[in-house]
Amino acid sequence: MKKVFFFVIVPIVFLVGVLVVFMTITREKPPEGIKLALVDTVAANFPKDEKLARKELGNAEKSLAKLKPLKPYIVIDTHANRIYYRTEDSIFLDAVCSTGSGSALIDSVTKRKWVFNTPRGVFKIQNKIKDPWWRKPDWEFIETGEPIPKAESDRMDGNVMGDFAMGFGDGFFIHGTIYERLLGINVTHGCVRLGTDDLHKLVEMTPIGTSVYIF
Amino acid sequence: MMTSARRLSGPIVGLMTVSLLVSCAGKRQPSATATSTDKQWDQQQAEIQYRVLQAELKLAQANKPYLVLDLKRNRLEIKLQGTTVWNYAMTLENTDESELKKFSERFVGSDVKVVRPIMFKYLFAATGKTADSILAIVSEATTFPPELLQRTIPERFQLKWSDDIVLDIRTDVVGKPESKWKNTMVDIRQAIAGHLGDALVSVKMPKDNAITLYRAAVVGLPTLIYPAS
Repeated sequence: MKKVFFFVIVPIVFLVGVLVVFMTITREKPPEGIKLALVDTVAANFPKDEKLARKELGNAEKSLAKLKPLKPYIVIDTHANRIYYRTEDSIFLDAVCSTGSGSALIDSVTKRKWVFNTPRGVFKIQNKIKDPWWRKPDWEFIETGEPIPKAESDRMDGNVMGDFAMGFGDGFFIHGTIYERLLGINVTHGCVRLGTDDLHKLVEMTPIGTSVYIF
Repeated sequence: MMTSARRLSGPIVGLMTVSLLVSCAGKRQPSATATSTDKQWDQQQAEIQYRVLQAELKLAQANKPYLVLDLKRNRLEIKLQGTTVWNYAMTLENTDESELKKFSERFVGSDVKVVRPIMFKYLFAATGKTADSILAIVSEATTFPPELLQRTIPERFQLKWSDDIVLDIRTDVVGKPESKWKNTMVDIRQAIAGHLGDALVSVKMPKDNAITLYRAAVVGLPTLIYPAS
């Protein structure tokens, strides 16, 4: 009996103890400020009657379907620097692009600050411009250490945005680039740069009013 | 690593009063959601479906991305305003249907929870996306710091929700381990926890998809499940 106790029970208890301690100390603590129940989905009002329940389900499905675009839409994946022209189940164009760098610039004189992010959210293609000119904003001159010009004409540059630009609001565009080697890297000031061939394809496919999803 | 840890832990766990530990873990086992055995109306399933739809409507209104684990179609999706912006047909690795079902049931739980935030993200190993030499050139040309230009390509990472629900993602990339010691500890812990009923699903993913998921799946990101039927 003693042998059983020392050679079986004691080792088992010891190992269980070690296991419990190991599992306890290696358990991660949940981060603070994260709500466990993000969406309280109370189904208390869901009808018990089959006919009514089917109707309720149908209504919910319709409400969700209404949110989805009926036509193909543009998706800009800022994480992987890719642009898609797609529907829910099909992808018509998958191309490498460049999106905002996320870096910040502060004007040492005026203390103005710019953060070069591509905006996230849902937008619409508002216009298509052939042979676009870039009107250089103040930050371009501050960044390059040049004086900000007084004449408007000194801000205009017709050689950097490629053959087309498609505006999606707040001065942001999907446009071409002369720096195609930098595609796939987050190097822009917020606009979305595309290679020439892909830009031509996208412009041809995309009607004005197309939804643009950026995440 | 994971396989050897599992091999090691099997006999250990077997030795150690399995019944005691299983009974401890048993209290965390969620009650199974209803499975419709007939093609007729299933009120419980319909109620779950209704919860999913209501939850998605609320998430879609938030105008922020959310992750969808569609276990009915074995798809991972990122959605924005109810529209799919990224999707991946899951290629399961070392995971069978029963484990997927267990994952689904654990996620939903007895209180039919269809949305959970990501609680932890753990990177096992990764490699840089852009070579240092290119980064140096680009950085000089654009005046952006190289660290902002670099994007990590994960070799393996895990997303974890409360109640020890783990999605393990692996790519073909050969990266540098973040911490060999910590990786081993995490693997051993999960191998043991797996025997105790914890839910882990392992997915193989091309590197381009993995970059997006790794970067988009931030801690706190709401995750909606379409439960496995």
